[in-house]
Amino acid sequence: MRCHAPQTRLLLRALLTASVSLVWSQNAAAEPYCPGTYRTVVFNGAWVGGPVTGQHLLSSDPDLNKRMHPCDMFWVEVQATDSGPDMYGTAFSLELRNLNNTPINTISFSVPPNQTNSGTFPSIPNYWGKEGKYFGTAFPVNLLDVLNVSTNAVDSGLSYTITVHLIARPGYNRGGTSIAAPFIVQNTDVTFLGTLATNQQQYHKVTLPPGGRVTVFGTLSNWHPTHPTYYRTRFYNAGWTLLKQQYVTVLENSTDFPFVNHFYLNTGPLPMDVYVAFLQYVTSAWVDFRITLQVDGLPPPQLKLFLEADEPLSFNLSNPAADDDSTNYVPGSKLATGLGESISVMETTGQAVELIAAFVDASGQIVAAPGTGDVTFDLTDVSAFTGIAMNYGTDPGPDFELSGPACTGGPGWCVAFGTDNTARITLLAKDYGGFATVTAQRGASSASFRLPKDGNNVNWLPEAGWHVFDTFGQDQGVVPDDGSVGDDLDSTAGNVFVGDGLSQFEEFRGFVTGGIHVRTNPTDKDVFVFSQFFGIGVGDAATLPVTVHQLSDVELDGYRRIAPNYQNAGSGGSIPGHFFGTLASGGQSEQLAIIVFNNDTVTSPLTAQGFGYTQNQEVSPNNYVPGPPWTVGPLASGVYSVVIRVLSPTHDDQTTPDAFDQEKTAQTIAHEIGHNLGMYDVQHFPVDTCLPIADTVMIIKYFPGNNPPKNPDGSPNCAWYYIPHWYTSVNLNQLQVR
Amino acid sequence: MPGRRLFAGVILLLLLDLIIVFGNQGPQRLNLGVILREYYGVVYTDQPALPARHAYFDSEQIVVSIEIANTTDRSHRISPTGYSLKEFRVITRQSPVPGQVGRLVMDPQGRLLAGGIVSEVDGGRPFDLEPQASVTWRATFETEAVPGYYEFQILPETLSADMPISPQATLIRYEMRQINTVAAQAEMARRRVIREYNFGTDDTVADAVSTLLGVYPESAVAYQITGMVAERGKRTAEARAAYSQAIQLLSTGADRLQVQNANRRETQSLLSGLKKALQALP
Repeated sequence: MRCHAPQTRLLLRALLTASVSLVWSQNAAAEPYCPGTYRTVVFNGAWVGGPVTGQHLLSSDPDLNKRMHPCDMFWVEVQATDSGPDMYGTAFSLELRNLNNTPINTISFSVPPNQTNSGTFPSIPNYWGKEGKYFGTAFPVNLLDVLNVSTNAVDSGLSYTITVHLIARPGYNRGGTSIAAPFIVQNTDVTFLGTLATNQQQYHKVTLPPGGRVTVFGTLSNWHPTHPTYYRTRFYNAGWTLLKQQYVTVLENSTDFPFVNHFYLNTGPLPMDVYVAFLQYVTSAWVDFRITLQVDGLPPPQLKLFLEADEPLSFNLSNPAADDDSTNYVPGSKLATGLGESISVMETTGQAVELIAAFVDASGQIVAAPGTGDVTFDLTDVSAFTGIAMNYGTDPGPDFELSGPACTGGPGWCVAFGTDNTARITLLAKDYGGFATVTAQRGASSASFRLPKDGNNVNWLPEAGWHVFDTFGQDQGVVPDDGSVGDDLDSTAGNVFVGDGLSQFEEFRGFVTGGIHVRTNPTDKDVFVFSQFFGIGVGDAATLPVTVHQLSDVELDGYRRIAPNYQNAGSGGSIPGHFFGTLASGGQSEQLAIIVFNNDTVTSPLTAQGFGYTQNQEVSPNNYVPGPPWTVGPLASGVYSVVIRVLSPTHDDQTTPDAFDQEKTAQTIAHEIGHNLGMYDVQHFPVDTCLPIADTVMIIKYFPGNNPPKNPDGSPNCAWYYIPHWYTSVNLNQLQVR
Repeated sequence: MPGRRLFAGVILLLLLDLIIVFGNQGPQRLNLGVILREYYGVVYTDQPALPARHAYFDSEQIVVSIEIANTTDRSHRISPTGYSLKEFRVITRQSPVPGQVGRLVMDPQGRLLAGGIVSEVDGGRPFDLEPQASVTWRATFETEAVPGYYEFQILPETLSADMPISPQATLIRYEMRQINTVAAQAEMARRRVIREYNFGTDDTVADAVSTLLGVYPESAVAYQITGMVAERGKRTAEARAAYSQAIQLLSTGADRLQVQNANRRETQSLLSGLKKALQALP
């Protein structure tokens, strides 16, 4: 069977359905435009001879304020001057037509020869549109557009000025002119004002919850001097089936005739869209109304708070809940990618996002705020971690700030609702791990949430988790908030030691490495290294089964601490679970970065006794034991780059580089980093021999001669040829980061 | 974001109980690093207090090396503008002297190391830095000599390249001291001995040793260096005597400045090295 294209199928279905019943659907209809001000529109003309005709159109002017709208009344002022030269005056005629180009009224008057005549139509203050004067309803047939001018004069000169005065009645005639475009009532009670000509209906739509009832009441004014008129309130369903109608007879010349208790009750089990129409249907009658539409059972609109964090900021007003970013927002991370905001932005202006407050109805649509007054935004429970990340910055200030007009004489930031019924303020995040509670208040209504959202609300971790990237910038996925608190239990396969001295929250808040902010994975061990070997970096230590982060020297403090910014002067206090290890001396140490110095201080093999050093902890007199980074002393590690040059064949001097230097340096860096991670030297027996048995960078005393430690005849020896670029599983079993 | 390296792999050789991980590592960048150089540690006085890792005396020259290393897999053009102090900006982060300004005085040539070959680059001329190559400029750093803690940052100012230069090491931190004790005089003399051993002649080393012993006769380092120079000159008896004297000074604790101030493990290592050297003499 051949399938129609989706569009075609939809069209066919629509046509078939139309023959049975009409099903209307619509988005929120825009209210009719109302300038809300008094305006004038002037037309001038002049001619000689006749008879002559001319035409002016209000709708020819692109300026909407120079047209008539459903909320407008108007009157016309005409001035015409006969300038001869004949002895006859001029009959001047002005025909008014509506937007459908249907004649509505004609104004005629005579201008005596060589004189000026003028008049206002109708006489002030009986404006057209006021009290049943043919104009000023919701419909185009009652809106002025065309002005046809004509004269019967022969051989006369005539000039004229027509001034159309437009007087706005804000709030009038807001109802829709068809059931397909109703005024959607999102808030009750709503009082409508307007004018109905014969058989005109204005449409409104409400959504009734099960058991909900819409009640219509108000006053009606019938301006007809001799005829009563009949007003109806009609209730339709979505298929335009008339559910119910109720009548009121309004006697002639009645003003503010009251009616009450027109209603419809949703007796069904589901919410129901009901279309409420106001109608009057006596020929020549005009009715002004003031009708209140009340929906019972509908919760009043609630003040809601949304977060917009897209780049660029663009909030979807028609579906605010779906576009709310507060659940996925992580401070200092880009919403789309999870990548870190730049360091410079976080240090200066802060990452800008937008808080949006609005009243929403039961269906989740943004509606006009009830009553008057500004929204007061405020921040509470704001963290103030030192710096912007665990290892970067020193600013102890609050981690979130609002940027907007501060309230006069009170706390918070006061923002008015805009034309889109929202009140907005910029929120600046100044820390990759900051948190705060944001609040919007308007009268007795308030809304708030914590940023970032923390579902379990115990561990400061974002409900949305966070992205982790490898050292090449590839996204490794999202780390979820597992609800745990404090230190984590990073592990390495085949290794009994757990942890890396960084708590869950510290891994989330993250680090600046190589000028880029990264968050780390609490299930992996992270090691931070500053190497003074700018080309080789961490050398063969890149093969370690841990995540090795290379730092620049401004990314660790003068004491080598990798997470010095654990203090929080704001809400919540300092980071729970921050690591302090107890040294053999009894002192305490935080987790430290590893430093590998390019040491050219030691130039003599005799003094060096090797290619590098690490200041391992002295656990008992003269007993120096490799351990995790936090146990390594202030001298850290170093590689004797000059000694390597001196010993490496074939040039045995301090300055001439040899082919072996780079490789030997990479191995030595790895060897010393191994000592920073609890790995011991690997001896081989007999020592100072040169058998090709080395299987690790942790080997020592791998030279053929006792002293000086190089091959006396200059021939290739083990140190240059047989040491590999890896660690053994024995070494890796010793690996200890915490 | 750093680029992905081309090659990495893991082979587990279980029978040999080996884990082999190979491949190049680290981000691909033009790394800039500033290091304090030609500095010979602290042996005879107290160690500098962190965050200072270096201690200078007021008449000492402060030497820095400024290195750019190419860790990428292609050549990059480095473009100095005038090869002068304008190439770098010095920011004072901490100083005991308000308004302190540090100044770099660059040597006229840079040292280019590429493929194991050293060459010179002339100041002010653009040059290409090959993959895995580096260029190093030597400079002296001039500043006030008021005692206290100093911290400066050195950043590229006009020096440019065809990709961003990534500052890896830009801080220099040191303690400035006055020569107001015998220990300080001995320390200065010791440093001169090491410097002459590294860069001078046997005569200048001998002169420096003489000066050190004049200030501090119990210096084991003076005898160690004397022995090393003698060994280098095949004067075995002289070397043996010098090493023996150094061993005695350390073993008995007569070299009190070394024993009291130097890192104990380094002193032990020095003693061990001296004994080995003595045994190895023919």
